[in-house]
Amino acid sequence: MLDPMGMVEIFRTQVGETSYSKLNPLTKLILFASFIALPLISASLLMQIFSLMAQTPLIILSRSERRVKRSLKASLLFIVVLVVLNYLTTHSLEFSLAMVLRLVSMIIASAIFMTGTSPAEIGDLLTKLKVPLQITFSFVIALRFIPVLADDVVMIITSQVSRGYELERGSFLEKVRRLIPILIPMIIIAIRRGHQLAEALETKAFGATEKRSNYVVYDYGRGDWILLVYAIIVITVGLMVGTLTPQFQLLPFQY
Amino acid sequence: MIEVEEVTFKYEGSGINALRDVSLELERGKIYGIVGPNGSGKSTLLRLLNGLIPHFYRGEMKGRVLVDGVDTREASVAQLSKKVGLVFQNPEHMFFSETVYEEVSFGPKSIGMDPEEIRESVKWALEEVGLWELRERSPWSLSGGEMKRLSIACVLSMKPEFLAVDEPTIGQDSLSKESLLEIFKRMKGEGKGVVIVTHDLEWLDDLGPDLVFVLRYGVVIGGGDPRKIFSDIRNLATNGLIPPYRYIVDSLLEVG
Repeated sequence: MLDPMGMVEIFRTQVGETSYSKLNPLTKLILFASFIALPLISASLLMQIFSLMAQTPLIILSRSERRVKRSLKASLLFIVVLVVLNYLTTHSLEFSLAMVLRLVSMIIASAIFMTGTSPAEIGDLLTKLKVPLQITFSFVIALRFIPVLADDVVMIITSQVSRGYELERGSFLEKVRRLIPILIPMIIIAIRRGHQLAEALETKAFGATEKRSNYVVYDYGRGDWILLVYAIIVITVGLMVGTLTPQFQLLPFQY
Repeated sequence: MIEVEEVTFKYEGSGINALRDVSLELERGKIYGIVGPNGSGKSTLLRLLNGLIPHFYRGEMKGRVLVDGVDTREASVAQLSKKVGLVFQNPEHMFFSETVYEEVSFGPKSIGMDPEEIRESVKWALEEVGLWELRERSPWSLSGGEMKRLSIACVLSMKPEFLAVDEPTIGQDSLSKESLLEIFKRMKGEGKGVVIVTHDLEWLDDLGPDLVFVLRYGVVIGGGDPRKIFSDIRNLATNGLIPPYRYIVDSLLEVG
């Protein structure tokens, strides 16, 4: 049930040629922000169902069905823990279900965004939004290195397993302790990679000028406008659903 | 004996087969070379031998691999590690202990050897690779060649019958390559089966393998006596492999 590699996959950017990936990065960010905000407007079950349904066109446009499925499968343990904890504290199955759907909705929004947006696009976007270069660059590098580190972790685990090491043995605490032979090489390799990257950046004159030039121009096409209108409609409908009187809400709950 | 019987394997999420209908038989006391261009399925084949495929790597697998008659699907990687020791291309991925000695004792501890046996096998493994004198050093303080030999010792200490080594010469200087030759020849002399994946044919020729298999697009396109394989210069070149120098010279002399 616990699939750490699957969870890493949520953050692995992987851009294919889809209608979604060709959109302007700003549109993608607005869509992503909208679908993260939408389930937060209200905690009603109706709102969560609406935010899930509203993402269907984006899943199709970004061809991210497999990615969404894998991300959800990887988060299964957290979903189960969330349902149980919510039920134990609220004794309301409807509320617990709504909270799970809220999480699922956000996972799907992240999976769609990560499937169709490259780290470079995210970096360019943040730079255009006047985020300081140091922060933008660190963020982009972090995103770009997730798949590299994920591959390292796979190699580390296979190396240790090939030495007769069994990760899934003993109690929960024992299992945590057994992660040490995985974590130490991972940390050392990550630090070494960081050091090598810093050297590479120095040799490529990173930070030599205050203002870096940029040659990539992102256009605003018809698809961008259509999806921006879609985001506005979805948020407007979401606000309306969120302000419905309790008797109109599907399975309302009391705090 | 390791028997690979008509194995086809496709990694999860991949549209193409990494291996297609591969059948091999590997015996103790022999050195096998597996050569092929990048992406030909060499490393995938090694992962089959100690059960990482299908236990760790997800995908679709057809056919079967038998290690001393045991289907790798029926045994865990930990159980198989006593039979087949896999040495990875990048040794840094396995190091986490404070000293070389501790690092080498990790495998024997994992498979539950007796303390006395552990001491004995760690000493033997470190002596085999010439690192006994450096046993108190940190693995991270070693040179590239020493790290490679340490990774071999880490696997040898579990006393496997077969040693499967992925690209042993990458990033190694000529002195280090020389010492690797000696280690693998000695392993053969001690009755172990040694399976080497490489595209350094010059080095492989020096090692003197008993059999060489050529892989391309996941298919074994040739296998047999190394002299026969290495003298087929045209075939090797079309597969992106540089034939050993002496075979190129022989070929030129023949033409001349």
